[in-house]
Amino acid sequence: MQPMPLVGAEIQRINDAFHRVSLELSGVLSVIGDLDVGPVGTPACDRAVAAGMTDLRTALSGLQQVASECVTAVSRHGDLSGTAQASAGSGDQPIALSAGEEAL
Amino acid sequence: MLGFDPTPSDPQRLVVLSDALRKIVQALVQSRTELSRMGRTGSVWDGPAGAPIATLLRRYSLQLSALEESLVDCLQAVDNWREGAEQRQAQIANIVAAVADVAGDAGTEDRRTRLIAAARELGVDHDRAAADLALAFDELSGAVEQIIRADDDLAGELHRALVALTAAIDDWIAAEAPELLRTAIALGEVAGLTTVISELVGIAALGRNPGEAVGVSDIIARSPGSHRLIKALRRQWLDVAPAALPEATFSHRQSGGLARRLSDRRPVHVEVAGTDSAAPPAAASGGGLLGSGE
Repeated sequence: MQPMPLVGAEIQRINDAFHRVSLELSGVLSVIGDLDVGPVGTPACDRAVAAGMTDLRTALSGLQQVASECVTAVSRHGDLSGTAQASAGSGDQPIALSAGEEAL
Repeated sequence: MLGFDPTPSDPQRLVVLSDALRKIVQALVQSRTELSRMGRTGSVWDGPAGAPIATLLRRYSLQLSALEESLVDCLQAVDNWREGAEQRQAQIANIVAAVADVAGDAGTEDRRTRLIAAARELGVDHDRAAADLALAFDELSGAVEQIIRADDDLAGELHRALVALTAAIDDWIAAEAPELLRTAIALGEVAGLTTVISELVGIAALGRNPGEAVGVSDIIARSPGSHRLIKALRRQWLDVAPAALPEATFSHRQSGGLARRLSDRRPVHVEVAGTDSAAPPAAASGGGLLGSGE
């Protein structure tokens, strides 16, 4: 028999990892949201710091969205991990979303 | 006293900024470490079907890493700036005190001028140091721009990679179905299997009625992960397929459960296609399956 990885658990790990990343990034977005980036030095560096922090927020938000979308994408393939629920009565209907996705 | 502030800075606000940056760096390190570990060379995702998934994991991890590197530079710049600014502000405070001492004294104009000149010089140093801080944050903006410009549909690519993986598994099932069937029968009434049993959809492709295979229907009914098999059965043997399916979940199952159960089992006497045979130990039957799943 040719070897085939037990992909189910590995796919669950990917899903869990992206879920954790999404939560981590949500947490730091809150940190930035609560941050008062007022003057910290000269006017020139204040402008750079303020712009950098705004860009950082944009990047973190985008990365958090990607992580969240990856959770959704992996969850669509719950049958690979052997844990998604098939729709009753038809083998060709979409597979139900996972609890991991619903937790988001 | 000087008539100008040569060293504008808010140390308290810088402490808050520094703490925030440190938290963000820690979150990024934690996030990218796990993803890059999963996508590393030599992982389960090596090989034609898995490599695209590993590549995506590494790509996302690299984006986190790029942001992390820029933030570490910013953090260092903020800390350097705060430390330097505090020193310069202390020097300015001394100058201000000295200027106050000579205020109103006749014949101290030269000394006052020298003190103010020293204060201006400190201001120049302060501006130079501020440029370093600004540069670090400008580079952060540049790193962000690159991440945004990448604009890749990572989730969509992951979906397509998983579709391809599904196809690869189907191909594997088609090639290995006979041995899978023998394995399933050998496993008998073992319940709680997930991934392995999920792959047994190949049984349906053999054109056999599952009722003929002792124990297989039990597996179908009790295995929480046998969705693909159940779906296939619904298409071909509606009366055999279990009506109820377990709840969907991505929660971890107890690792090593299958191996433990298999190691406790003795060889099972089964009948395959009318021929009596002693099946090999179940663990050996499944020995071709790799990975760290249940």
